[in-house]
Amino acid sequence: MEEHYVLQMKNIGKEYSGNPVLKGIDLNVKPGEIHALLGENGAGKSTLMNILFGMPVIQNTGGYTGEILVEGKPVRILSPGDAMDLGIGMVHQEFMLIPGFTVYENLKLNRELTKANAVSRVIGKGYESLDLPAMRKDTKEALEKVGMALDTEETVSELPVGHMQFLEIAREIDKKGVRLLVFDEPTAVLNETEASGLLASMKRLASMGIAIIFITHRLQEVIDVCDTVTILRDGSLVANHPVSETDAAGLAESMVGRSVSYGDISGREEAFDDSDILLEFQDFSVDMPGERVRNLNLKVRRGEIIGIGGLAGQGKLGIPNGVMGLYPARGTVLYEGKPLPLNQTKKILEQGISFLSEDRKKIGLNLKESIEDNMVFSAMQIKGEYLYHFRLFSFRNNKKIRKFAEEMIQEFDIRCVGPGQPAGSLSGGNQQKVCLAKALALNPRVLFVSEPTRGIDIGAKKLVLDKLKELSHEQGLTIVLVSSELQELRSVCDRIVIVCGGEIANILSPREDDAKFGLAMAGVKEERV
Amino acid sequence: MNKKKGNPLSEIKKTLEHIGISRVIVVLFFVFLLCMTPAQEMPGTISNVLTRVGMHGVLVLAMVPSIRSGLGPNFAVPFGILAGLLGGLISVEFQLTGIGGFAVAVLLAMAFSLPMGLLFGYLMNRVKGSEMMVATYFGYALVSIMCIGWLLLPFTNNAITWSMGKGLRNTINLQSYFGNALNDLGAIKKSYGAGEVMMIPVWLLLIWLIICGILYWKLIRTKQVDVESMTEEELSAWGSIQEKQKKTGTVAIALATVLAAVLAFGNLGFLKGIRSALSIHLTMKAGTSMEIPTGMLLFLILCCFGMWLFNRSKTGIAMSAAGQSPDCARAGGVNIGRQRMIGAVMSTMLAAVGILVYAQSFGFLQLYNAPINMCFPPIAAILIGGASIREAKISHVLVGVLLFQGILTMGPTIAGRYLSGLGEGIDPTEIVRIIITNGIILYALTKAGGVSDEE
Repeated sequence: MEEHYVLQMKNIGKEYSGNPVLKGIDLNVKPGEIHALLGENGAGKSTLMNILFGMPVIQNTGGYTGEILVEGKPVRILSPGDAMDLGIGMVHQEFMLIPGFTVYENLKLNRELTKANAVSRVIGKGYESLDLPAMRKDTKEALEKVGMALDTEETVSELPVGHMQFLEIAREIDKKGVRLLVFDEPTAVLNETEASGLLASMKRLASMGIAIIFITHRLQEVIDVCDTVTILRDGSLVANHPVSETDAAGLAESMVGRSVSYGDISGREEAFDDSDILLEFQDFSVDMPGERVRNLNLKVRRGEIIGIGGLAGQGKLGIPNGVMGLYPARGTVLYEGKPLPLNQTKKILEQGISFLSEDRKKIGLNLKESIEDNMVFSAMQIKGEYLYHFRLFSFRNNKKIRKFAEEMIQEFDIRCVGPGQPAGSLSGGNQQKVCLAKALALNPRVLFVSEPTRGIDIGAKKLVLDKLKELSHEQGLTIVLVSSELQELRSVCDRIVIVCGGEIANILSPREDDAKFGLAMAGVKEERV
Repeated sequence: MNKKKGNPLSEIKKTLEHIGISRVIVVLFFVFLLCMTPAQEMPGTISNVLTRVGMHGVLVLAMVPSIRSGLGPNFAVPFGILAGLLGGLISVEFQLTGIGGFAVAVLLAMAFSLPMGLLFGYLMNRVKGSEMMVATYFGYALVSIMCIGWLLLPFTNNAITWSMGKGLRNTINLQSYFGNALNDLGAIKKSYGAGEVMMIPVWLLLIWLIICGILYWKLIRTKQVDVESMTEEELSAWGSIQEKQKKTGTVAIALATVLAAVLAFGNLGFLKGIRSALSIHLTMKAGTSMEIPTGMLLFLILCCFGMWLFNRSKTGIAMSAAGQSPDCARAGGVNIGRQRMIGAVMSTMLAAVGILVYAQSFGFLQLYNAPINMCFPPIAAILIGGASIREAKISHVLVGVLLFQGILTMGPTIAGRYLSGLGEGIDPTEIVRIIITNGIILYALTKAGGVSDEE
């Protein structure tokens, strides 16, 4: 006899403008089961969930292929409303609650219970009065189901963060006929006690027969509460089996594992002198929203390419942005043994520290300006190059600017109609090359590179990475490379630092096992190598 | 990816979109009004338009630094105007006349406007995100406060103060001081007797425009090509051909312009015949005359040139980066607050100088509530000229002030011809003037996105 499933997604595929992001994914969820969905950032988890919820972004980009069955019946989910009617609910990572409303008002928002009254009989249903006692009773019941005794009259803004999460869940439970709930990284914003409370309430819901899809980065939680696990990597299904068959290390390996041939790895582990430190972070903290760094201690040796990896939101982006003064930083950074003037971008640039930002459209480039003006902007402002100098004023030196831009266009093979073309009309890869030229125009001694290959084509990716390697290997430039693509880090870096929760989880050689990287990313600390 | 190559229709459409439909409409309206102007009024219309361009040009130019530094159009122009009025009053108080009096007024105005601009910049840096709204009411408030000031300032010259009681006059006649000081500097005057013929080389202008258009389209314009799929050699070969064509095109346009100028103004021998053939001939009645305020126009061009130079300086480049893309500028070590401060100060100073240029041509200094009305016309002009809230160039100033003031000068008189006889005591020209002014302002503000946003 065939097994009974709440949800079956069969052979799901999805392309974004010819770019396959999901390839033949199967997902089967039984009633009362907690099903973990794992994968790195960009593995396709959120696309899969968007398909499940009929989000407009899917329809607008050409729909999906494959089949979805709910309770064995094929369905076509075209809008979030359809998903709701089918009893599929979502607990959001960001709280979708109205702060000024009370607990029961939020819970019953737009699903208020009403009673007919004299006015409504005449004018219409919109004027019925609220049945407050019934609403409170429903709210209490829903909250009890998730195991949280809350005062229904409390204003949401007064609740601790942890409680809001429960309120979100209770709201989904309260919807009639809910049979499947999706939890999108619910524990990311919770502390440990709150998280364990949440896990307990998930188990309780499961025991009531509600199926749960649990998206998380914390592998231990998967081991603790989940029954089955599905792992995605680069849009493909890599594993689907009961949790009891594996352990955290096994999960980590399937999550990040890629067949990196060791020929690609160019790490020069032994070539550096541990006492020749160019840059030293001491108790370095950065207050970058979503990417906080907490008391980081790290030594960067002269001439090396040091990689910084880790999952999104764990603080890796905070490091370069903090050093460059784009977000408030505390602590000490010693450069050549002298402390850097933190939070003063100009002084840091003057010292020969340059930055290739992860956000090339907003921070890296001025999209309205021409390629050439973008390339020389920092060098002009910081070092006074590419200018004619007069007594009081300095004016742009068009000849020098043009010459430099043409050289760079040649060297990086930037596809453009000329140095005067606005940077905004270039493709992503070419924009990134302009950013790199801009950073190099400063003749830096340390280069911070943040997500250099995000959203660019393979050709440009290779060129950018090869150029970075060349700069370090041949010209001795020290590079701090931040990337969420582990493969990229391993192919370029001499050492890789994995951060988790704003702290260093481990420092690894690029030749280390996949599992070690996976564990470090999941925040499992071990003895430093 | 679908390749769109060599389809002239789509390219023309793109160019039109780049210029902006709204601007095309305004230009057509301008040309329409010009054609409707009766022959007899042509000399007067030309002098009026040029005079008004000169009068308002510097005030419009005041928008450039504020827009480029990211403050948006300077709605606090009335605030800067106060400094100009104060400078002018002091010059009058000391009975200074002519161009010297004007120079002293300008220097004093700049001295006053410097601290005022700093104050304005300080305020703007504290209200990031709602600069335009705050600036508008800041300007209004300060003009109103200054109304008290005008009552209390200890001026003694009878031309400034009321003959009885305390306080300053509403309007101060500059006729015997620095009125028309700039206008008269090298002014070109020409009067026409009855039956005399005025030649306007319209056909020549048309031919010149068409030739330049073709040259631009064929040689200078950057053509659409699929750069992504070309090989490196093809690309560099294509690049150098493009470069050469651009050079040829520029030289050809320069030659055509010189030739056109010679033909338009040449008055010798056979040239005269060509000129006459390519012109339309207007027969004048007695007493029509034309006057070109050379000095004032030169002053405007000088200011524009200064601004253009500044935009090419290190500070100017940092300022425009701070305005266009603040995050990018900050990452490049630019102090955004400082750049906005510089923009505010420059804009306030230009507003102060601008009102003096305006006043010397108008012939009066207007105190009390008059500055409030000076706020919107310059903003409308620069927006019509093609600027957006984040981007402004000198060309936008010149094109904008010509279109806006041109329409404003010609519109009411032409409308007046057809609307006369509405009734006793009703002046249709004034009504039409108000409708046109506010209509254009409204239209310009709805198109505030400018060239780039209309794409």
